[in-house]
Amino acid sequence: MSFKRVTTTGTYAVGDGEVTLSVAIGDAQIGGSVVIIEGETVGRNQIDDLVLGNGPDLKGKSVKIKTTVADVNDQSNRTSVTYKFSGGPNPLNTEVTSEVDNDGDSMVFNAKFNME
Amino acid sequence: MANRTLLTFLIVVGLPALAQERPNLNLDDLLPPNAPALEILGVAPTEISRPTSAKAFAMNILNDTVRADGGLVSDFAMQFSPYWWRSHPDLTWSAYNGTYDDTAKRWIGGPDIPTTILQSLSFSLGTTQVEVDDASGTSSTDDALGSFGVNFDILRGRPSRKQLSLKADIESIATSNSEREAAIEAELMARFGADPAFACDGTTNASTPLCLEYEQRRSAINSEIDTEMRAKNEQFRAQKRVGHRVQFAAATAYRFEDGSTSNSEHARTSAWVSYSYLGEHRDGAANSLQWLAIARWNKNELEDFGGTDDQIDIGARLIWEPRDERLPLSLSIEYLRRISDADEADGDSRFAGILQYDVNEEMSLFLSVGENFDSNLAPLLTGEDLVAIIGIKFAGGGPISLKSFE
Repeated sequence: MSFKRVTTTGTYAVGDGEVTLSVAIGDAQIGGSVVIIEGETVGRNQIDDLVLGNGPDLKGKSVKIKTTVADVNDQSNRTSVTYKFSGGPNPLNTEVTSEVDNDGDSMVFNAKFNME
Repeated sequence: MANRTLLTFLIVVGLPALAQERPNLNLDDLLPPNAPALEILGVAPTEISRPTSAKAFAMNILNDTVRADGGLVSDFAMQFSPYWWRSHPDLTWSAYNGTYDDTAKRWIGGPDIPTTILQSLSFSLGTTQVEVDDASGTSSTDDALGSFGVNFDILRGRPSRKQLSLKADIESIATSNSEREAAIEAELMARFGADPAFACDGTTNASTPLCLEYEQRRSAINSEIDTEMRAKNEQFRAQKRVGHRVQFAAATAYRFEDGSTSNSEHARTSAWVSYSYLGEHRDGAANSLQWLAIARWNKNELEDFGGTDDQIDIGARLIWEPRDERLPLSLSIEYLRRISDADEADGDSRFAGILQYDVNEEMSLFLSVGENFDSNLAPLLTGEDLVAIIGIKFAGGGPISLKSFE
């Protein structure tokens, strides 16, 4: 069984407008995500400009993102996920990288961002 | 599978008695190699160093290429692709391959030619001991051959729609793993008051009831998903890229007297270029027919290492493979022409039809019918001097003739 995992936490300062999230899987690998706010699933599979809600409604809540990445790239065993938040005063890009041990292994990225 | 394994055994056991000299040049020999530095030396090492970082590369070079007395080691093999030495978080699968526009029914985007070259750029290095043929047979010398090679794609085709469909399957399986893990975490969080995805990271709290239960239940899911994921991943990786593909490779080799880097002479330089086109069937998988055109240039400068001549080989092949993966057959027609300044003749050609059966990934049997070098095209048309060869090919090696009929 070959699932490695990596965790990351962060914060995002929201404003008055809509907050959106994109989850980009890098290194030419592929995978799927689930996005959960306060126990409720708000997005699944490919997350591209997902509207999380209005800034004031999100303030004080945490956004949990779990992404499973499969190593399908013959050239590299590196895997990476970039979390892109926008809609607040400033956009946020958080990159997380890790490497699977063997070709075809999978990596699970756990992330939690507190909305402030 | 059992029949193919038995066939492999019988052929390998019987091979020494049947094997004769290698037949003339085959078009497969002209394909741009993945490690041209090793191809030009004519070696197929069992171990090739493939550093995946600049640090690993430097360590390999420092530790594995030079003997204690300062000379070159004679059995070094390395291949590396600098682009992949670091992570590329911005390189999504779609940025690397392009995307299929379902509305327009066509493939769009993907890397331009300079980016394709950069992403596929690979270097290879090799050394080997020089062997000479004399009255007592083949003997080794203290001289070493060292080589450097480069290869890259100029066009690398694109994924088939079949592969795109498999990508969607893998994404769905990955999403399922994410969802099922998240469901367990939500349940355990309700019971224990902590999210195990973060509370049980690595060895932290590993022996607590929360983490023990989490690990057990999560492992069960991962194990199930892993089996499904690997099966799809293998299918995904096995898909051929379709469209236009242009590959280039070049290598040069030097002879080092007594292995000394201060006393060297040029031995051989080669360059390869190939163009191929593989269409896409209506069902989205790769087509059965593939076109292939190949050219190779050799410049040999040492009498005891391939002679001293300039040589150009050009060839073309039309390949047909059944679309049923259970039939590992291929049928091809190929033409090959050699032009050498060492020959008095204008040039020499080979024209053949080849039926190949892949026994397994390592070994193939072939039947080649046609005319070989040192003749012209007329025999194929008249039936005179037609040559049929039954042979065997191993991965990484050239064809071996088991039986020929003239």
